Amino acid sequence: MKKVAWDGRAGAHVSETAHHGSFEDFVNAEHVRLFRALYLVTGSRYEAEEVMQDAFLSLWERWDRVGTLDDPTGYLFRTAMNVFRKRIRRALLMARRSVALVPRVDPYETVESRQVIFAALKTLRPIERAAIVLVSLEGYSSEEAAIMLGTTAGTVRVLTSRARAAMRRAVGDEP
Amino acid sequence: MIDEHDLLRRASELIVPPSDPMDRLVRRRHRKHRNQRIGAAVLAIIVAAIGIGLFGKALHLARREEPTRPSPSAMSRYQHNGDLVVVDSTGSLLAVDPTTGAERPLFPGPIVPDGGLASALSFAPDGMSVAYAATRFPDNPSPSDRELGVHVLDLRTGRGGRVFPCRPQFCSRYPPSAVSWSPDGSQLAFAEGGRITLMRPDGSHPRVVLDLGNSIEIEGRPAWSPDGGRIAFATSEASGGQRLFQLWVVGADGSGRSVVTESRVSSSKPSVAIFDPAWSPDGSTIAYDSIVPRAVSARSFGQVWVVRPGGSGRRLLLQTGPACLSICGTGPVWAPDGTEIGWLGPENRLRIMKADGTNPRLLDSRPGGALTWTAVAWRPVP
Repeated sequence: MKKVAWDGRAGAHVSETAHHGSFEDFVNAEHVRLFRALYLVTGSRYEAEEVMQDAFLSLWERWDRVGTLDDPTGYLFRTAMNVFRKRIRRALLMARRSVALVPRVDPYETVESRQVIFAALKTLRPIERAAIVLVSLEGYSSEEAAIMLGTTAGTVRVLTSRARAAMRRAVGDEP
Repeated sequence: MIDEHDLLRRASELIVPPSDPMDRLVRRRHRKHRNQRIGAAVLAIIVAAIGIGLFGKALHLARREEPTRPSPSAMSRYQHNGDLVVVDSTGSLLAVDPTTGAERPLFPGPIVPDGGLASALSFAPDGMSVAYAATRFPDNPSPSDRELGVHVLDLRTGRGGRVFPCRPQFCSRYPPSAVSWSPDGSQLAFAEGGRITLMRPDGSHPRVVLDLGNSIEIEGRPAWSPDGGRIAFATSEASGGQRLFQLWVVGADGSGRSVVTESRVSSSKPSVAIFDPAWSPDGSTIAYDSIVPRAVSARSFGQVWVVRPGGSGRRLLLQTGPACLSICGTGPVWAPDGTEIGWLGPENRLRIMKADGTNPRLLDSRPGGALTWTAVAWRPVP
């Protein structure tokens, strides 16, 4: 079973061993981390849980193969980001169709706004939030994050840089 | 300088994940599979409904067309020179084997509604459409004037109807009673009273090419020459206590009318009437039907004569009796290859003979009499 060290950024996700256990063990080991990352990316508890469950279900249906991978957690995050991007596209499409009918709801409004990080994340676009969470929190490289987000490593670096600058502005740490 | 990793980590630690993730996953998986099954079932129902609908529609169309669409076997021919086709008492078209007399349904009737009769029959050159004149019995109000006139029927589709009505001034006395399809298929010729009218097969562009007045009546069908340039027709008129029958040839445009032969029928002079001319396929001969009425002979006879268009070579091909003096019989009809002649003659029986009049045979086995058949024609080889 893979054990996640929660103490280092670059090495936090590195598997110590390949995950050859049961799917339930895998869920119990990974769901906290995945949910928290998704919460930061989506800004919504509901959205985070939906994306997480869809990602886990997707892995479950092909667990015979995924369970033997060296890094099933990476596969899980890639799947989750795919689900997230699909939901974003779907939401944008629906928003365009009903832009005048539905009041805009900021998911971060429901979050404890005293927390400075949420205030900072609120200023970012979803893709920027995903980039900064994957790279800075989860410790994935720009190349790995690029695969998960369906873009290029250069774009991820730009997104991450913008996100950092926005967060610094939000917390008053602008140079 | 902020450390965004530290900020993000501290923020994430404030997030409490849902409990029992596996239970939630199991329930979600069940829901997903159930929804998939429901979706598949709904899709199957929709596909089945569409299939049933299409099948039903096809069945409905097939049933709707069934009564009027001839079967493939009926559309086939008996012989290389075409079918001999008759209209029976129900108004149905029957193909008759010119060799054996075997009958086979070609098209279910009635082709004339309300008890009317088809008094003439003429096929298009391709054999797939037929024109006929719808008439009624004397003193019979049915069918109404709305049904009388020239009809055309497409044997492939079963669609047909009246393409030309009887004109008001002729409807009661001289409704169109005969019609002929031109050899090139482009025109129909029909007679009413003393007039011959040409028109397109759809009834459009009618034009009177010959008008002999009210005292002369055209007897039977106009007959096209094989090249379509001339029309033969028979007339009758009262003339000094006699009745004068004449066979004419006229240009298809109504010009150059000339008498081919004539006959006077009176109580003292046995002679023959002239009806229903038919031009032979090679153009060399005109055959026509005639009768020798009982009034001028101890017996009445029906006859088939031939004459050259110039008037020479007139001779009797076949005579048999007794003549049909009521509404029965139509004149001789040439087989498309010119080797045989069909004829609805005495007793309204269907006969066939060689073109020179030899080997006459009865083709039908019916008892005969009025309305056994009402019209006969050869259908060209399709």
